[in-house]
Amino acid sequence: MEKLRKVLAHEFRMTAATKAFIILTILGPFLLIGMTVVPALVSQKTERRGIEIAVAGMPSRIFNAVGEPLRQLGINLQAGGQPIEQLERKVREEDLYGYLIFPADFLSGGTLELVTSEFPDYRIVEAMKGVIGQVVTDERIRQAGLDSARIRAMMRPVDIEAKQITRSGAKAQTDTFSFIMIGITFTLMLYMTILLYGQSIGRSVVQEKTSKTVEIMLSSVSETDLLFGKILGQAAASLLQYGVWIGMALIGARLIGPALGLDRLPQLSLSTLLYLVLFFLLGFFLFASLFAALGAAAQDEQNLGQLSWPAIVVLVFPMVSAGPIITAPGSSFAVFLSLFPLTAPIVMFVRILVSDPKTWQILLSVGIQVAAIVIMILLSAKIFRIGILMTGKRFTLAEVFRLLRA
Amino acid sequence: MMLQVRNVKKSYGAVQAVDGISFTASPGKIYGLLGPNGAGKTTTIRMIMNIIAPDQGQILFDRKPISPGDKNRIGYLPEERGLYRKMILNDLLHYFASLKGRKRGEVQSRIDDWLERFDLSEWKMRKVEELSKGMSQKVQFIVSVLHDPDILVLDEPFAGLDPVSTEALRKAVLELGKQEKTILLSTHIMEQAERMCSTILIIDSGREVLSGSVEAIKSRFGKNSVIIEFDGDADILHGCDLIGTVISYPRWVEAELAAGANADELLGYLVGKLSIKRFEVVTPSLHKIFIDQLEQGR
Repeated sequence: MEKLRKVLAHEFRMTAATKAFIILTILGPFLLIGMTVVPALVSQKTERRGIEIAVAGMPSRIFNAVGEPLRQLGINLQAGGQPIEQLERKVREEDLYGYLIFPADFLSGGTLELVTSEFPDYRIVEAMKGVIGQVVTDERIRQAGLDSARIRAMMRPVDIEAKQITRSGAKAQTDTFSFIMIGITFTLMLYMTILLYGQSIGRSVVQEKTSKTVEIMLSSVSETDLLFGKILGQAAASLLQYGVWIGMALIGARLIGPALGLDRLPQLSLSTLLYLVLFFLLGFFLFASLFAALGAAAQDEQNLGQLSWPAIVVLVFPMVSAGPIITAPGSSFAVFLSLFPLTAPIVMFVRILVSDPKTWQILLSVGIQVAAIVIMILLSAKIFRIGILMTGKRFTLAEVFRLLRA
Repeated sequence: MMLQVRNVKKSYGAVQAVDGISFTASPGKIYGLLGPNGAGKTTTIRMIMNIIAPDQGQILFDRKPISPGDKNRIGYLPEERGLYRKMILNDLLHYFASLKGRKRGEVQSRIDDWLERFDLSEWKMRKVEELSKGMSQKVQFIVSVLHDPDILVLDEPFAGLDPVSTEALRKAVLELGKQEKTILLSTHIMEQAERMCSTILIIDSGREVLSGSVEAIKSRFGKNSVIIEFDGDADILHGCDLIGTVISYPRWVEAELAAGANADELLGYLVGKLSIKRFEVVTPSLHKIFIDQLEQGR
């Protein structure tokens, strides 16, 4: 135990005292927010340029009705009268963003045509569709001799406000946008930290081989002390990092949260953050023991990269399936992934984050993961013992599996 | 602490790396483990260090199998040498000593003494990656002796060292031998083994070829070698039936006298053919015995 503690302390120091670790610990949350929230906000709130669109064949009554609302959305309509050829030239020379042709039968269902020089921005098309559509509908109602104000009142859509009963009984108002953002942010966070620490352990093991320190180490400590010292040392470093991040999140939520409306998000409670740490640790130990075995089987860091692709693919899978999991956390697809040990750490946590999974599912998922960790550590220790002294030999994945059967 | 190796065997797949090696190394003596590259020296040493397990046989420390505490009483300089390059030298030495159960306070003065002795004091607070290859090797030796082990296992300790460092290391090893340490020295440089070891074991292809005290081995082979230094063409020696095997250099040969031949006859034969500077009847060098034994064995 004493020697395990020494190796652990050394590994912790070699990990946590590096510039990269300190920078990532401090900047991590900002990077994460930057990678998820900012692009979403940017695409939501891009300032629209004042773009010019010429119209052809638009009756003046319609033109007068849509002009002002569209101008407020940044679209300036130019009255018609110019021949199409001239408009086309102007669009090509980029004097105009585009031109819009009203067919004669537009009231009875004819399709309008928007011609632009670049791929049309869907937000511009949507804005014009909304405003012009409203006015054209009003015009149809009026021509049919009906009162458009009354009809519109009758056609008013029904609003549904989504609320969620959590286990505590509180009814929380949900907001799809913040939901998806939080789900993706935490998926990304778990994915990145599990991957980074896993690879870091793989590298640390393979470096014992490439730097040829392994024999000196093994003349003093047992293979298991070396393996677990490395894994636990990095675990300690990762817990420090998560502790700092959670501290920053809690302080940040208290100080600037109200200004951003974060205090209205029930997902950022202390219990969620504790679940985050739990599922991170489960994922960490599973992938740490996997990468340690790959590191022991690898001859150098390049070889390690070749051996670790299946592990990375498995880790990426919850990332690419984040959409369906977050929007339908109770689907059998999401439930399966939250019980399959290699995807469970990320998927189960995301399900807890965005929904309220059944307790037995959470317990089963944790139980399966713990069992998988025990099996993985035993396999890893076996590969580690055989692989760590083998130098000058490149393994393929098939040979690594053969080592397990030996 | 006495080290006994008893009929140890180890194979890797179809390759029998070590095939029944036995020897005993006792305190106060330097035991030489000799053999060509690939003879099984490093595998034997790794089994002694409990890094790999033998397929068969026993390794005993003071007549008992290795206990966890024994690792702290052994110092090891592996043939595959490496250090943690990013660490400060002083911290690195403390770390390795701590893995042998030594407390920080106990070792600082020993670190300072050993660094001083190998002319490395000014590197104490620098990163290991700044050291030259020879310096790293001296550091590696310091790592193996820092915790004051009872048994010291040195695998090719002199490989790649310059003459000054070789001399410093040789002195240090001999001194440790006088301090009642049990020293196992693996090498393929016979001159070194001949000068330093009291007892040797020569192995080839995992098997013992020859063992015993250096004196006994040399006397067993008798005074049947001649050393000749000369000017002229050494080719005439090759056709001569008065001699057996020869180790030859351009102006120096060590030759074994053929059975029944005597040195006077040989001298008579050579006079006039070569300009002789030295003609001496000697016991064969370990180098010669080593090569002859390997050739006979194969």
